[in-house]
Amino acid sequence: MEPSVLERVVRVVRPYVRRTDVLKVTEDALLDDDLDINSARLIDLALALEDEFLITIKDDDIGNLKSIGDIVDYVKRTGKIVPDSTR
Amino acid sequence: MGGVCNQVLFLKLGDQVDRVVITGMGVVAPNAHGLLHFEAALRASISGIAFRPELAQLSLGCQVAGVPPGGEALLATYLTAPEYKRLNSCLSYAAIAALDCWQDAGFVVPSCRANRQVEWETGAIIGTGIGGSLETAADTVIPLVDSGDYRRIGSTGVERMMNSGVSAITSSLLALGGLVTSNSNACATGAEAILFAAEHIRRGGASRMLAGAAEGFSPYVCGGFDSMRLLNRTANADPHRASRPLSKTAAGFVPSAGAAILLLESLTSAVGRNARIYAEYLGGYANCGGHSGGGSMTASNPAGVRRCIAAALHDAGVDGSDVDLVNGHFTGTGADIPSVLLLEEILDVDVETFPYLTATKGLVGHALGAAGAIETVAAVLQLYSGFIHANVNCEDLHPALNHLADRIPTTTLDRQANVVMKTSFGFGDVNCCLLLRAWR
Repeated sequence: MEPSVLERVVRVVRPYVRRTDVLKVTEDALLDDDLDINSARLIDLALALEDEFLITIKDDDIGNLKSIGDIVDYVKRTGKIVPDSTR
Repeated sequence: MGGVCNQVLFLKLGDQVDRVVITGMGVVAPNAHGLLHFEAALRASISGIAFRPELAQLSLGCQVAGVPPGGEALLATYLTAPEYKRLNSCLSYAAIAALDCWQDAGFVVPSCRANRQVEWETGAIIGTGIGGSLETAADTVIPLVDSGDYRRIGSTGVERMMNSGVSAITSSLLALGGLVTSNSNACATGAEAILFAAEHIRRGGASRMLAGAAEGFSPYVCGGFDSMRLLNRTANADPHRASRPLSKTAAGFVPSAGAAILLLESLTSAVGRNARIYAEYLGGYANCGGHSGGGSMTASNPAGVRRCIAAALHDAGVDGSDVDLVNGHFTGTGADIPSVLLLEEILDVDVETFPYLTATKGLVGHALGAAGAIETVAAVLQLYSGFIHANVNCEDLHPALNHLADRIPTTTLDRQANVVMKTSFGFGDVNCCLLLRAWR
């Protein structure tokens, strides 16, 4: 079964989580406060998301991605979701 | 104020100056990683110089170099993949040496960024000569910018290119809250970092300072030195014999890379926490020859060297006759012999009591900015463990040094030195001299 957008976003985000006490990354997790992904690391995360979903995240939009849910919504708004390349 | 700065206060006139000791070390050298392996490699004369296919592919004259072992597999034992993939070779060597040093000194590496304690009384002066900027510029920044895809440089391009990346990564890993900075002074960088750090402790600026240097490996750095005809082009088929300090057949230095970081600590702090003490930092000095009197961008003014060593001896409170081991800046170039003869003049002792000379570069090559730090670790290990490592590849000693043959051992000696002098000289006519004493 094709993983959901949320599952794929969490998989991409996971390596960028700097807090070692985070066991589960949930949809309502805040990137900065909950996951310790600061604005500089968010740049790298945005590039990784672009690679995963074959999208372009505009520079002006990157700062609006505050939570995992924001990322999921952004990816869905870009239109057609490309299949998971890891499957 | 007390809550902000409850320990470290700069000395005022008349205050007692604390002694400085070395309580931890980490080393990533071409012939070994880690203190135990590095000491074993020094004792057994294991060379870290190897043929480098990438240099041959580029048709460089010198196709041998010293690159630390381990690679990504070693990094993975220290850092997570996202952490180490952010680093270039220079930063990765610095990170490993810093983590090893910190733990060797008896401290625990903070595991979690959330709520970790800042080490307000500990700082770092960790330098680099050329660093990783050229490596990162070549493999990432220039190709992406030139292709119009600069966005994909990401957040790490700048931190990999900035000279202070080596001290910044150390502070990031260890949560250091004291003075954290990076120096750069060509091949004197590593020794100079130790001098500056010790001075900072002496003046009461910190209880502990990580000090040392790192240098990455890049064919483009090798190319620069090769174009100056400074590298040995005659031993590509025989890498272990390529680095030949003090030898009659020395034909240039062998480029290398790596890092070494030492923890310098006030004696009060070290005794207070019952730390193991490797050696005492007695004193040192750094200067420039003013590009005069024979000095230039690439050569030392003998008057500058003379003043540097004399001032270091004065600062350390010892005479030339007290020095019984010199880890010199012997590179395998034409500068070696004049520097030994100058040392003879400065120390002003009989041949029979002249200090033993060691040229660690014969085993590890010339790690540029990191050389002085790696060689200081070698010197401290010799003081601590009571041996003098062999000078390799100078079985054909330069005839101008024949009268000192007994003082330039070609086999490892079990010998307890008391005071060791470390000299480093660099492009820009810069000099640095450190004096260390065995701890009793």
